[in-house]
Amino acid sequence: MFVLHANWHGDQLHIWGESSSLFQKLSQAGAHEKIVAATDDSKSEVIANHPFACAQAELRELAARVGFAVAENATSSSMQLLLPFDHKNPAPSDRLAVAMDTDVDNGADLHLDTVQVPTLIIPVNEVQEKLLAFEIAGGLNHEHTGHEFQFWCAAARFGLELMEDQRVVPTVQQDRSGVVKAHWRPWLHDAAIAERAATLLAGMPPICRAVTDAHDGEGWLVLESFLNACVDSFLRQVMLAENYVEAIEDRDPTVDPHVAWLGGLLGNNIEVKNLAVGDVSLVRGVRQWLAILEDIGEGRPMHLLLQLDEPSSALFTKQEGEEDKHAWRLSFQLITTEEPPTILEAETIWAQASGRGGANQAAEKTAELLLGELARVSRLWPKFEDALEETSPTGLDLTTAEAYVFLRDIKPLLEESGVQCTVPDWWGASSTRIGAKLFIEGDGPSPEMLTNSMVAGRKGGFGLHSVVNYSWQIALGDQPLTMEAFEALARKGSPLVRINNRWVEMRKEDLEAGLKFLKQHPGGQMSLLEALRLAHGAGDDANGIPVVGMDAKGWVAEVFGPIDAIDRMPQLEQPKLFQGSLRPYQLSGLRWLAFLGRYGLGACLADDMGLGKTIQLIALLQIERQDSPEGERVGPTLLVAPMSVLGNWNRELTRFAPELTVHIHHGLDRPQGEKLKEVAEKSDVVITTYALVARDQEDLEKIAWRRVALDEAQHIKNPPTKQTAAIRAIQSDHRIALTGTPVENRLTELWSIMEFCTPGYLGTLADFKRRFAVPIERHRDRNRAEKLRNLVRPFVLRRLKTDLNVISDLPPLIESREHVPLTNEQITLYDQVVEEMLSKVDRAEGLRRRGLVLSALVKLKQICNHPLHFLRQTQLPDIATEDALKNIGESDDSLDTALAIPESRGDRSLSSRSGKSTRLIEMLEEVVAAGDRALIFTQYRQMGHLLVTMIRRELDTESLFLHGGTPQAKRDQFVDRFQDPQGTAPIFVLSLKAGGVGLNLTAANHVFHYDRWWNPAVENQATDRAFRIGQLRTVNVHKMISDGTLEERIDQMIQQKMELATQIISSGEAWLTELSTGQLREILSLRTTALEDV
Amino acid sequence: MSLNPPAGHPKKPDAPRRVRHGIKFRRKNGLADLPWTAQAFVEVIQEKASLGAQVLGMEYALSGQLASFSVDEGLVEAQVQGRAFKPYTVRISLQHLTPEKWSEVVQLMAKEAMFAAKLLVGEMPVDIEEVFQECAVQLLPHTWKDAKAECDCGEKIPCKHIVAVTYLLAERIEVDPLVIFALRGLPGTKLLERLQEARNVHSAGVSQSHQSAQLPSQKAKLPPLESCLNEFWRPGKKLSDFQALPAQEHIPHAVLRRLGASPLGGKFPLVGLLASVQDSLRAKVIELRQRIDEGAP
Repeated sequence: MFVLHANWHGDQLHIWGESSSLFQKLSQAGAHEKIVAATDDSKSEVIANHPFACAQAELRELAARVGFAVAENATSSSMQLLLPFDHKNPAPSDRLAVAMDTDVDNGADLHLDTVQVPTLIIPVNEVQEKLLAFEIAGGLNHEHTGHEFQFWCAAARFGLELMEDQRVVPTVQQDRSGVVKAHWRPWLHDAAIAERAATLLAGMPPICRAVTDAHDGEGWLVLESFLNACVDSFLRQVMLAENYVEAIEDRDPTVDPHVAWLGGLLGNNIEVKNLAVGDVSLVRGVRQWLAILEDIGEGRPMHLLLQLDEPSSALFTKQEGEEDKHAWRLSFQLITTEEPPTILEAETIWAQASGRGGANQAAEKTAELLLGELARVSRLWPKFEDALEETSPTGLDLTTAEAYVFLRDIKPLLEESGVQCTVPDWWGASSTRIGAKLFIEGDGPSPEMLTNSMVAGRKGGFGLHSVVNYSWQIALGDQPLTMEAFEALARKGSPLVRINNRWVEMRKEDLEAGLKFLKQHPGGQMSLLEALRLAHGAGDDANGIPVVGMDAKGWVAEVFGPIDAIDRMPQLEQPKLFQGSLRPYQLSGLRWLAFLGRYGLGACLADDMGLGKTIQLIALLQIERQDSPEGERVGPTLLVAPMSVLGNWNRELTRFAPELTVHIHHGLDRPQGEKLKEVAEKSDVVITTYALVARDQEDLEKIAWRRVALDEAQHIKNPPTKQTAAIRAIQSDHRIALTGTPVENRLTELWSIMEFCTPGYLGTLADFKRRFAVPIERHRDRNRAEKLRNLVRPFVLRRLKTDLNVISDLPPLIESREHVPLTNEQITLYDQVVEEMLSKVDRAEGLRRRGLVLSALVKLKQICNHPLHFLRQTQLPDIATEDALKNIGESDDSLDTALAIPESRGDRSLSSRSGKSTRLIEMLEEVVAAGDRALIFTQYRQMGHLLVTMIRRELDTESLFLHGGTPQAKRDQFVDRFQDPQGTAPIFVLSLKAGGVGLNLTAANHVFHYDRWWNPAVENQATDRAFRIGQLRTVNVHKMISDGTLEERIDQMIQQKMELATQIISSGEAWLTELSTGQLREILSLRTTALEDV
Repeated sequence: MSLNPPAGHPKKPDAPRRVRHGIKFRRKNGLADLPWTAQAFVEVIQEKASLGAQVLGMEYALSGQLASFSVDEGLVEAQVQGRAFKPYTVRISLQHLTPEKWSEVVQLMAKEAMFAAKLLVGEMPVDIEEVFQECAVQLLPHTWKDAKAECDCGEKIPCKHIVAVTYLLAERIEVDPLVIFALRGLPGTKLLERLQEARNVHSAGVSQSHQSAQLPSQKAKLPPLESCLNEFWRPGKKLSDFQALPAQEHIPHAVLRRLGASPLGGKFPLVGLLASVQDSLRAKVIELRQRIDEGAP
């Protein structure tokens, strides 16, 4: 076991590693013993070797294990690092700590010290490609990969991006010996680029600047050096490959400074030779040249502002087609840098400068500035020189062609150079480009009719496959053009034309694509799915022409009309039988689900956690029953959910829609075959788990489902598992996916979900990756992201708690109970403890009896929390751990670790042993993905440690842990870190006693009560850490309850305000000790309602 | 003392021919209170020239007998109108330093800001000779032998023409002390440039063609490593912000076009070549990207 690290040092990437076995030896030797002695005692300055750094000889092999390829002949080296030390030795990195299952105590007192580590060198010319290949291969998420690799990969991508965008310049530098060297450098000075670089820098993990070298811990120097070296190396490789040196081969560098300079730029040689001794003219000349780039008017009191006005429309009353002669006016102005800025017209400036009342000096300065600015821009566009021929230039008259050049080509350059441009607002708007408009028409009856006539196993039950007629028309914006008008435009060949009193950009390629498109798409028939795809821009790339709109007739209009806007969908009232009241946004979610459902169009409801996806689905089930014609039974909905929420669903269905018949398809005695069919057809909802769908696929397929709905739909992942395949194989009229993770940010997940909801809509996975996932995720392609958003918009509804229309509907505090099942392991332990206690209390009396009961209660609560919480406390053998140890014993590396090591990030081996932690981790994953923050309260310090370890390991997320032993200074530090908007620890675990009062943690908008105190006042006090003045968002409170256990029992009593409740609240669990053995058995033994694991 | 009339030139008039707009010695107090640098030249000439040459030379200088005077090419060159029909050509020069010696001198001067500061405002630093001496050379002439003077008048060198030119030179040195460097082979402006470069090197190790980019966050620098111990191994939140920033629209050759023509004065079409390099670069990066993307699982 090891963790691989990388640092930039001496213009090369050095990889090194931490070894878990060495770390373990060190821990065994005693943490306070410094086992590495300095190699030479005579000198006090000798730097100690890192005590648990991987040996050089192993590094290559270890890197290969996480997928980072290092050449066989890689150079060995070493470097000195400043690392956090715990006492006398370096503290393990976060990754190593997780792998070692070291209890995470992020309150430890650390200090910096220097150690030497052996490294292997990745030469600079390989760095970028190696890093990117590593990233693509998924190496970054490998648990043996140090987190800093994420940063290096981002930096490598940034370097490539700068080169792709041609933002590199040749430079020179001269050193002490007078030698002049040439380098290629990324040009990072421009505002937008510098901003990006600054953002990247702010994300730099401290370890990246821990090398003790000339950069001296200065992050920007490290990053700049990385970018510089990568860019220079890449360029030289490009030029060598294309033999650029040939260009200057027969030129004399002694007479031509250009040739001399290029001699140091075009190949591997970086020295500029053939310069006279002491000649500084090249350095100074290049500096003067590059200074032009730096000069973007900073420090000037005013900047140039150019305003382009289209020719007055009055001129167009005569004849269209003669506009070329009309002048576009580009007027010169100066704008001050103060806020708010003042704009000075050139006319005014000249008038004031030559003022008759005696020229004033300030006015003269302003005039000079204007001239200077005009001289500056004339370097970028010689057209400006025309203006400089006048004495007092106020602007330029441009022809239409010139105006187009200005808009398309010159404006972006000017803006980069610090010149502001004001242009007509139609420029750049999509409504002014040529596109194709789609017309579709549906014949015959609406496919809505299909939905109520179900045939088991019917293929393609979706309305998506209904056939529609279509045709295309060329349009400008959304205004259709006749073929004649279009061809007339094409003939004119002008890039800017005036149509219907509006200027539009007419790109030659658009025209050609338009004509070609019309020839290839005479119209015909296609599926509704295809029509929807096209109407939402799916075909843009292939056709070379954007789809700018659509018109629908017949029944299709019912679908297409409202599909992009909920408020155009038919109004709905809350279902009459719904027990409660839907918030307005929930009602519109219901409207949306019902609308798509009516046409058999799949839907993905991706509302933020806590917005009530569950009840929207429940209401949908009710409304379709309410609206169905008398005597016609609506088919059952198959609801697939993770084990951890089965109980919750059942409970919510009972609470909000008691009239619905629910069958929980779970447990060993679940009905099979015909029996299942019978049960299902009598039910409104059949709830089952992902695992069981795969197991009982054959039986489930035979049932005529109205709908298949997935909760926590992110479970259907890629590559497709047996579960995923089984779920997709089950036919139904309608499909719904519920998920709380921000699907729009995880594109392959989005594809999987859409492939379930609306099969085929996003194309094949390979196609989708090529067109969307890769450009958006890797190259941050804005246009593609926009296209994808348009494409999925009809089928994905995601509302955030922060959305304005949601906020107004939400109460400031939402409390919910998370009922979770026990795992088999928990059930076994729970039963054991109950039986043991019952057998003992019978024979005990008085204080001893009371003691027995109380200790059993604590044990039961621990078991509900997590088996390990109980086992560690009681020193009982941990079966799972023993198994893991056995397995490890069989592997080669027996020293590695005491616990099973998760192989990938998705591994939930620790949390899956407890129902509560399974659910908690699921929910936290959504919290973290949404960028939210959470507090977790527990009564037990031991459990807190376990949670922190779990969160680190399974979510790869940092959390803070505050308990009774945390010193005051650390507490303050934790609170600051948690509250800091830039902080990297989104989860705060607190022991209820230590963290229940006094702290202000308003950064959190989720509060979890992992185990229960029973006293609402105490719990509320804890909740109030987040729910207090300064909290601007809705706070979601989640109370975790293990089903069937005493937790559930007591919770019920409190909720139902039973007589006992007051006693429970005031005395905790003490009242239980007063019960008879029979009563104890009744209250404590597991209820059968608990869903057993399978 | 010799006021001999020149022999063998019977046609010559007694007084030199007048020069219209000739260059005149204009100091009010003659050779008194000259700066030490100029004084060095005067002393060297006075050491060798006859009294007559000195007197007449001063007369020539005062009456503007110099038709031209320049110190452009690393030496003093002047046309002095005597009694002959054509003016005589006078050249005065000092031994030039080798480029290596100049480098040594510049390096030495770069160590103290005083040199650059004084020279920038046109003053000769008082310690200047020590710098040259340290490099085993000298700036100012100490004896006649240190200078080389010639005139085509045929009289004994140094003749009155040379004296006249020397006085004019002294006057010039008073106004522009940096001309002395030109006489040693490095014009003052060039010396200043090299000095500035050397000072860059001296303070930063190298002299670069551009400064390192200033980041907007330069004001809010990263915290010192000591205060990052608890989050030592993790990227900051900004890393995901960085990854979410949309890519910029590509503007072809934006940087090159903003640069425009090179001011270096080379003949080779530099910008054209750079543009083609950048096109190759863009193509190669796109190719690499596609190669990597296709390797994606």
